[in-house]
Amino acid sequence: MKMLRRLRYWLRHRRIEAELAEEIEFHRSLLPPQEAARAMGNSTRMREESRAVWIWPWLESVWQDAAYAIRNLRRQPGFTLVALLALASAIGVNTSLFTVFNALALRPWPVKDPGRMVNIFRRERADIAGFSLPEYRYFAAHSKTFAGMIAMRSGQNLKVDEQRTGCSWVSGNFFSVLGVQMQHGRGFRPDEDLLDSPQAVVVLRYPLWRDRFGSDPGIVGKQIRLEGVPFTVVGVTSEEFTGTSPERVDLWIPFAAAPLLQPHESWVKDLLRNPDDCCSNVSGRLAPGIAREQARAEIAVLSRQFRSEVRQENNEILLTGTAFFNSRRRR
Amino acid sequence: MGHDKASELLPGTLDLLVLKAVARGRMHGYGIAQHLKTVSGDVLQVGESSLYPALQRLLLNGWVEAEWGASENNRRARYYTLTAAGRKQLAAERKEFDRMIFAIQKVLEV
Repeated sequence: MKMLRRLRYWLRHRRIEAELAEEIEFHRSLLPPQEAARAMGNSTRMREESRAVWIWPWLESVWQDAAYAIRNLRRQPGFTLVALLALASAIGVNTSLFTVFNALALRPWPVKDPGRMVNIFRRERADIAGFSLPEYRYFAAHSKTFAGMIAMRSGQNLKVDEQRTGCSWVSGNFFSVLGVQMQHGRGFRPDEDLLDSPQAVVVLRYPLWRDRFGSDPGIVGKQIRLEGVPFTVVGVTSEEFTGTSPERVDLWIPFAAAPLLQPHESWVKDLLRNPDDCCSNVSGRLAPGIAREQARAEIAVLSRQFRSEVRQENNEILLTGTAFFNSRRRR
Repeated sequence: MGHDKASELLPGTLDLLVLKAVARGRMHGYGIAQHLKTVSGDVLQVGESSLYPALQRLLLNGWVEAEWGASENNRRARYYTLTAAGRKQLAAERKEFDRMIFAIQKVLEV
């Protein structure tokens, strides 16, 4: 009850203090003149004391509790040490876990205006899946709700000078649509990702360039060997660009260059040309003024058209933000 | 000027006196001060600087209730009444006070 009354005072202290002032004024109006004049000087003190009645005991009891806790802790240094260590390590672990989690899962891609980038998926029965490259090319050719659409696919680790290096296949417009800043050189050009004229070109990620190539400022135009096949370095991304996938990727190669690396593998041909192939990741930059739902509706229509042409079952289309957590979440 | 004789009362005594005054019926602050002064033969002159904090204390403890009403001279005044808890508190404090006075007298007589 006392607690409630105190709370009420806290909530309405202006009104209560105004009432007190009025009460005092009434009191003084009844006093003989010289007494009233004498009483004036005391009014601030009186008001403070009245307020202290409500507030002070509470502060005092908080202080007493704290003092009691400190005395007890001091009396049991072993317990205190263990408790402190437990707290400190728990807080520390939480902080570092969150840092990692944030970096991996919550932050959108480190690209220009990431809020306008969306990942596009389809729902195949209970699973979330990507698209075949022919379907992606159909989207890219017909969509009007996207300023640009890109495709990417994690490749196997490639040997670069005997060291295994994470690589990703990407569409030729990958760097330009994302708006990735380059440390040296440039991103791919669309004409470097044509199926009929594959180009052996590669873009390096900053840490690979720094660690494996000694930050060579003249790296652009040089050839490096991927699985023994010579590729020309056209660019190095800036340090800020950490990639678009949770796994570590240190070099990017245009999709069309896949046959140069693995000329005899039939899966390479499937990857590039088979509409039954699944699972390249497709993303897009929304055109100005286009909402996600508009874009989703358009892609759903394009997907249905494409799939009826190649006699595939129609799937629901999903759009998500680019943070890892978004991309894996089932809606 | 020795203005505030009530502050020289034993600690807690003012609350007891105010409770007792209010027990007679609803009174405003000024009325309580006047009552204490008159009944004590001008010995207890309770100033507002001790009276109003005391009333706040009683309000906080739920021993008195306050409500606004019209005064004798037709102004707005805050009237205090004793609550049931206040009545119990008054009896308890009265008993404690008697015990204390009795003890003090015993010490003085030795």
